[in-house]
Amino acid sequence: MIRRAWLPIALLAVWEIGARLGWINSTLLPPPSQIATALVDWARDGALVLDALASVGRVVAGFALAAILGISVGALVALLPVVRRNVVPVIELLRPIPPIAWIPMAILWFGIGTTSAVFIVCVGGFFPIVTATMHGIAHVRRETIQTARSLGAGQWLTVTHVVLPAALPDILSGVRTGLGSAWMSLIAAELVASQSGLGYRIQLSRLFLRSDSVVAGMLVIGLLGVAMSLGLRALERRLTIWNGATLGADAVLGGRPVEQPQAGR
Amino acid sequence: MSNPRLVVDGVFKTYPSAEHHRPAVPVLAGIDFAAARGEFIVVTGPSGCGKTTLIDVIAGFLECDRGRVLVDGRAVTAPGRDRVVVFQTLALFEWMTARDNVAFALKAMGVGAVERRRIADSWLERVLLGGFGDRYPYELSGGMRQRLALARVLAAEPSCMLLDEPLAALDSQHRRMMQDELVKLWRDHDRTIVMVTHDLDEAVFLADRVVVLSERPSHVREIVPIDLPAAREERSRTSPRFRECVEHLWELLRA
Ligand SMILES: Nc1ncnc2c1ncn2[C@@H]1O[C@H](COP(=O)(O)OP(=O)(O)OP(=O)(O)O)[C@@H](O)[C@H]1O
Ligand SMILES: [Mg+2]
Repeated sequence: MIRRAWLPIALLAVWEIGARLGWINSTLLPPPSQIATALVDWARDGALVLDALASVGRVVAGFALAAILGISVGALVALLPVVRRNVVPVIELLRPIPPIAWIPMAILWFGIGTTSAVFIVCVGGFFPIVTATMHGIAHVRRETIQTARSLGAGQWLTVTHVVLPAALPDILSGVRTGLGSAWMSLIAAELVASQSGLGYRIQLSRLFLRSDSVVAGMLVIGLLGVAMSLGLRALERRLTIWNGATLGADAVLGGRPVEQPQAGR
Repeated sequence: MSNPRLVVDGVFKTYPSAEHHRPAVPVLAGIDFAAARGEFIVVTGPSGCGKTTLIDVIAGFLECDRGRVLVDGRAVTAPGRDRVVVFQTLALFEWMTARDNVAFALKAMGVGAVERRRIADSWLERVLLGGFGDRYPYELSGGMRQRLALARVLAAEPSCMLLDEPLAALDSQHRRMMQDELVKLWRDHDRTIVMVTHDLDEAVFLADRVVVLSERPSHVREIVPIDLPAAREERSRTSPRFRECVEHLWELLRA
């Protein structure tokens, strides 16, 4: 354990010592001990849980919306040429706009608060998901679909039992990218368009020049992001156990080294 | 042949060119043959002559420019369960268990879940995959996957089976085992099979008649009846007549 974590521990030690000796301005970068204290204070009065709940609630709502919209639109685009011709240009036009750039419009439409934040989350999550779904479905092998058709499957059965499951690994990887993007967009939205949540909290702490609270907030944002990502990955594994043939890059660098034949013996 | 099950009648197919300055590719130039109920037809020909294209037309995946395909007297216009295709890649449904793969055609027919399971399991037994109903395809060996693909087709009870080099990826030992398997399953079930292969031994071992196609644009060079006893066994492979048939096909292909 200690052996694996030596680098972060060493860095923390240098940081703490540097701050105590005055090499680092602790108003600009507070030492770890001070951040930890800020974190404990924040947790003790219950505000931490409330802030986290507000943020996670928004991300769950916005992201669920993004997933439903992204997968449906992606599937329609991939399956129906009419939709493809009309919708793809719109998607391509909107995709390069960063979710944050939607914030002014969101405030105009929905005011400052949860609705705006959920909207921004949805924008952030939608594009990775819709793109992955489109590509995933477009790359289902022709022979797979032809086999289903020749076994007598109608269009509905072919889509629900063959095309979508075949594209599922791609769709889910888009969903994971989308979650990361949604979480980042949410925090950005809360910085300016919200009266609660983790993003709002760190913005507020900055106003009070409490850099220790700011860093504590950033830490919680990072940890929650990791936790959600891990949860999603577990779900992904469960949904695609059949994809066992893909070992992934682990097969390249992991595993046993290649044996070299011994020269001259 | 009074009442052929499958008729391929003057089929022409040209692939349009993808770019204007390149000419279109004429592939099939008038293919005619018929297959009786329960007959095993092997189609062979030079690489790129249009065998896969022909299978696609019969299956209804591809529309021909001229001519028609009849199954039991009805013209083919779309894919259907009466002509199931097995591709060389097998195209197993990797996300379904072996049982669900086999039961897929039954599900498409609207057979209830309990009945589906019973029928699928009995097909799995027949191809010696008895205990493997709950496994996913990736958990099966190459040969087992092959048998699973076969069971999946047989469960659809097609009147024609279209096989596009289904055994091409196998080693020779395995391939002979699967050929025996095919002979058995097919003889029990009296269904018409059209199979593409490059392997002339395989052609003679399996076929009632071999349709030899010419170079592209292809027509039928000759239809060779294989006058070996219908009940092929391993030892028929070494009989003089068997070798003669293989040589004859080889001559035709080189001509
Ligand atoms: N979708 C397509 N578009 C254009 N040309 C095609 C297409 N598919 C096949 N062809 C061409 O048609 C010809 C016949 O192809 P086909 O796949 O039917 O040959 P084949 O007899 O099955 O060959 P092989 O024995 O190598 O499998 C080839 O020259 C090929 O280049
Ligand atoms: Mg081919």
